[in-house]
Parts: sequence; C-alpha cells; structure tokens
Amino acid sequence: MLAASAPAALGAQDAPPRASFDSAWAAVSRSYWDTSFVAGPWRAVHDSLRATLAPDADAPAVRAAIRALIAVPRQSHFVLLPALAVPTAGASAAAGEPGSARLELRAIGDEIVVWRVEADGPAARADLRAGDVVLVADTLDVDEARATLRDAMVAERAAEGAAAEPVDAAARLGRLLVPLVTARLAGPAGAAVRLTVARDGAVLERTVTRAPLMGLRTQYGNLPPFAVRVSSRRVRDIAIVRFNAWFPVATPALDSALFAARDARGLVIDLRGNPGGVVGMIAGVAGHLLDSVVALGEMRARGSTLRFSANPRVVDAAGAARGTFRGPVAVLVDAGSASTSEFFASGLQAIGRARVFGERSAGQALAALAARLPSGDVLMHVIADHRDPAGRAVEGRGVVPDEFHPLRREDLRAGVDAPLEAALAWIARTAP
Amino acid sequence: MRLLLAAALSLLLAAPAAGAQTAAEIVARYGRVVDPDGRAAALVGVKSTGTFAMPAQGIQATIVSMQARPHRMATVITVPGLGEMRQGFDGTTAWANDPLQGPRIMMPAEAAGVRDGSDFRTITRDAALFTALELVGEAELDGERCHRVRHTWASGRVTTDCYSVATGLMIESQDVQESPQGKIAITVRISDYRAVGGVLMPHRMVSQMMGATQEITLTEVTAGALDAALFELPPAIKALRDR
Repeated sequence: MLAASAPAALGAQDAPPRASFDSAWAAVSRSYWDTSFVAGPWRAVHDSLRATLAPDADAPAVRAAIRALIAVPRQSHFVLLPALAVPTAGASAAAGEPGSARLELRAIGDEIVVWRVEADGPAARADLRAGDVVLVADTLDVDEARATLRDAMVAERAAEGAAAEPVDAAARLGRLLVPLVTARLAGPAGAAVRLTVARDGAVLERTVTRAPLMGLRTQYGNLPPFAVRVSSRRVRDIAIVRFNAWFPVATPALDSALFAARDARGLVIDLRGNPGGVVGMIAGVAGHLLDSVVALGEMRARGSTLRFSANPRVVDAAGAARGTFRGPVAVLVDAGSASTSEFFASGLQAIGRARVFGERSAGQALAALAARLPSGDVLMHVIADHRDPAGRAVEGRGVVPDEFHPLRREDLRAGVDAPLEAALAWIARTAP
Repeated sequence: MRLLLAAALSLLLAAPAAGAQTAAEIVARYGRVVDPDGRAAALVGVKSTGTFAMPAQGIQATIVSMQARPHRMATVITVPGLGEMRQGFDGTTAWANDPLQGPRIMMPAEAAGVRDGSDFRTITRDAALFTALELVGEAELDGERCHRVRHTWASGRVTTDCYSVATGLMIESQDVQESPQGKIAITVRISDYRAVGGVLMPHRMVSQMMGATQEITLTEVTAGALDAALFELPPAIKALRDR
C-alpha cells in the first residue's frame, strides 16, 4: 500500500509541539532505505537541529526544524503537509463542499497558462480560454511570486557556491509556480475567485464561481482528499484513456475503459498532469498491456527490494476471457506527471512496450509513506529508492519522452494538442 | 533426606534449564499450551473479525478471516479509499483479488504461506508440518525471554519464531514473505491469546514491514462450521485457473 504522490505545495499553518520533531525523526530514521545515510550525515544534522530546538520552541520554529531535517537528502516526497491541508476522517464535511474553477494550468517557461478548460464549466462560462496567460489569481500576483521564487533560488544557489541562476531557471520557476497558482483557484464551491489574464495583448479580468469538484472523491489514509477523474474516447479507432490520479477509486472505470480498448488499433494513455497516487495500481493497469508477469521497475526499501510487476489482466471480473491489449501503446507525459505516473511511463518505455510523447516529466519518483505527527501535520517521507528496468533513476531526472513536444501557447489558442496528435500519427503508422 | 533429594531432582527434571530444551520440545510445548485438552482436532471452522490498521499512515480497515477444514481460508480486508483486498485458498488454488492488481492466482512460493496458514495443524504447530526445527538462540522481547526456533516447513518456507520461556506461547514470528513484488521481510509480534473453542488463539498481531507498522486486532473469534460457499473461487479466479 505504498503511496507515491507528488508532493503538494501548501502553506504553513498552526502550531506543532516539539514532540513533532522527534516523531518526524523517528519516522524517517526507522524507514528510510539508506541506513548508512541515516546513521551518518543525516543523524549529525538531526543532532545539531535537536540541540538548538528549545523545549518551548514555537510552532514556526519546530516546523522550520522539521523542514530543515527532511531537506537533507534533497529528494522529492519529503514534505511536511500542514494539518489543515489534510483533514482527519469526517472533518471535511464541516469545512464545506470543496470547489474548483474546473480549469487546469501549465507552465510555458516561467509563464502560467490556462491549459484546459472544462466545456460548460465555470471557467468556460467566465470566458477563460486555453492559452490565456495568468497574471493574477485571487490575490496572488504571478509576477511578484515569480520574483520571490527567483530570489530564493539565487540565494539557495549562492549558499551552495553555484552560479547565480541555473540554465533552466525559467522552467524551474514555472514548475514551482503552477501548484502555487492552482492552489489559489481552489476553495469552497459557490465562492468566487478573480483571475486576471493576458490574451492577444489585452488584459482581461474574470470572476469564476467555483463549482463542486468533479470526479470520484476519495481519501486514502493521511494523503489529502482527491477528486479522481477517468475519461475514455476513440479517435480514428484509437482508444484514448486519461486519468488524473492513481487512486483505487478509479479502478472500475479504468478497467472498463481498458477492457473496452481491446479491439482498438492502438491505445493512448494520457498521464499529463497526473501527480501519482497508490503505486500498487501499476500492476493492475500495466497488466492490461502485458501478457506475462513483467517487472516495470523496482523499489529498494529497507530489508526488501520490491518489483513493480504487471499482473496480466486476461479475464474480466465476470471471468470472461479478454486477452491483453497487444496493439501499440503511447503514453503522454508532461511536467505535471509525477511519481507513480513516472514509474509507469518509464517502466513501459524501458521494456519497449510504450512510446512516450510530450515533455519531460516532473522527476519526483520515490515511494513514500504519509505519517501524521503529534501536531496534526502530515509528514510524507521516502522509504524506497526507485530504478526502472533499464536501471535508470527517474527521481531528479524525469521521464525523457521518445518524442519531445513542448507546450506552445499558439497550439493551445488554436486547440491543437501536439503530443496527442503525434501519438495518434505514430499509432496510425505502426498499427497493423 | 533421600525423599527430599528425589523430590528436588524430579522438580529439576520437570523444569529443565531453558537452554536444555530442544527445538522440537519447545514447539511441542506450544501445542500443549494452546490446546491443553486436545480440542483443536475437533475444530471445523474459525471465523475472525477485527481491525487492520496502519496508524502512522492513517489507515484503519476492517478484517474478516475464515478458515475451514480441510484446508480452506478466505480473508477480506476493507480499506477506506482503497476497497476490498481479498485472499483465499480452496484447498488447491491460492488466489488474491484487489483494486490495485486485479485477480490473480498466487505463484507457488507465495501460495505456500497461504496453504500453511489454512492448515488446522498450524494452530498447534503439529510436528508433521516441519522438516526441521532448530534452536537458534534466546531473545528478550519487551522483558519477556523467548527461545528462537528456526522452522523449515514441509512447504519449503522458513520462519524464525520466538516462544516465551515463561508461558510457552509464541510471541514473535519472523518471515520472508513471497509476493508478486518479491520477497518482503516481516516481523510479527503476537499477543493477547484467548480461548476459542477451548484452544488459545492470538488476538493481536503487530507487524513491522519496510519501516511501516501494521496492527491486526481481532475483536471476535468464533469456532464453528462455516458455509462452504464462503470459500468458493470467484468467477475471475476460476477462469484464470482453468485457462
């Protein structure tokens, strides 16, 4: 039941006691896969932080110490989620119905653009369109946020003795900005949020009344609640299946879509914007595409090395023989594809079962558990290192597409989905 | 004086030093302790219900496990946000079905553990289940001394289990479990033995696996006949078996 979700970007909240620091260290020190790192340099940092943390340390100080502690391995999936971001069971009802503007954002360089707008959804009704550049979301001025992040990046690199800005500074800023701006669009259903966007040289102000979250609502353990959506359609007799998270609530719809795709010429699995979820689902989904138990990668955990093995899905729930899908498979990824999505894409790519299209993925690919601390905060902590079947680490590197198709604003404005079109064309050339 | 010495000698013989026991004697003692009246042989079915939790991860599930003679078992763990994780064995086919992986027939190495678990002789650790028993040392777990015994099961599995010196009960089991993902080292602390149909059975198992803690707490364990339909293979499993 490993969870492997990309870390969420959330703001700081209320006060944890110092016990939370000890609890955080207990969680990581008993489960992190590299025991020599825990016993050596990491423990030294822990001891130093612990020694300077006063017994009556206030909430920000304790939280800062925990963040300093989990920053040591410099890996994704070490995240401290504030208590209010992860309601305990039954608490969400009191907070009201969560809502969404029903649009998705992406970065083009360090600009934040509207990527998808749900037809007839609140964003569409407010005349927001794909390709719009977001200038202000709620009270967040994107230029100011970008400048703040750039200053922080420069300061961090200076502390490490590196040059002022990395060559990919714009892309890094874009990746950081997307979740920040997206978070500003979330809020209670029925409440309004204002956006200022640029379109064709004009600055437009729009007010969106959030609608209830669309999709299958789920919460697994201490992970934040999620609304999972699965869609499937056919284009030129090629099945296209898209889902936005790897949570088991999606399994019936995914199985239905993938069994229905058996007679299609080809299959596109669209993982763009899919941040991950429960890593064990890889076995069931990949099993639709493979007729033998094939490993799609492995996780080195403490005391065990686990494989992600496909479970061939040759019969349906009623026991009817369905075979596996044998046609060409394309997987679409982008910078929003993380964690379990990356395990899946890199695994299929490495064994030659799928061709990957789109942009380099997030590079946040480790297995983690989510532990609740005494303060109520939730600590996501890494327990295993990942390698794909080719022995490659995806963490920090991302899945490199076989066909690179960067997101372009002119494509969005024209309604062109270049990675999807490239995938469809490849399947049309490849399929028997 | 001779009577006193004889009495002392008999006491010493009846309670030998811990190290003097053989592994076979330790395991046999366990059988006698959990089944003092020989009633395990009359058990035809056992149904256990309770909770399955991973507290640090905020996971609280329910568990229902059933076992029936001759070698049948069925377990359902219902996890909020995940669904039903099912496992079963009908005497021939060991299987699993869950929303993560879908239906599957277990590979032989994995099935061996399920087959051993469904065998009623496991309740008393009947000597016939093992091809070798080896005393590998002594340990102290939470202040309780125990004998570590390495068990080589007839099925090929190897477990290292610790039996309390004081009570004779098994208080820990170390195993390397087979799974589709590979071998997983697991240590289970076992406690809260209670009588069920005249036989002592543990009601609490706390496992350590890959740095995570899993707790099974059984709230009700009953002995009695169980409907055979409970152990029938689901349609998808039958289809996989018959391919």
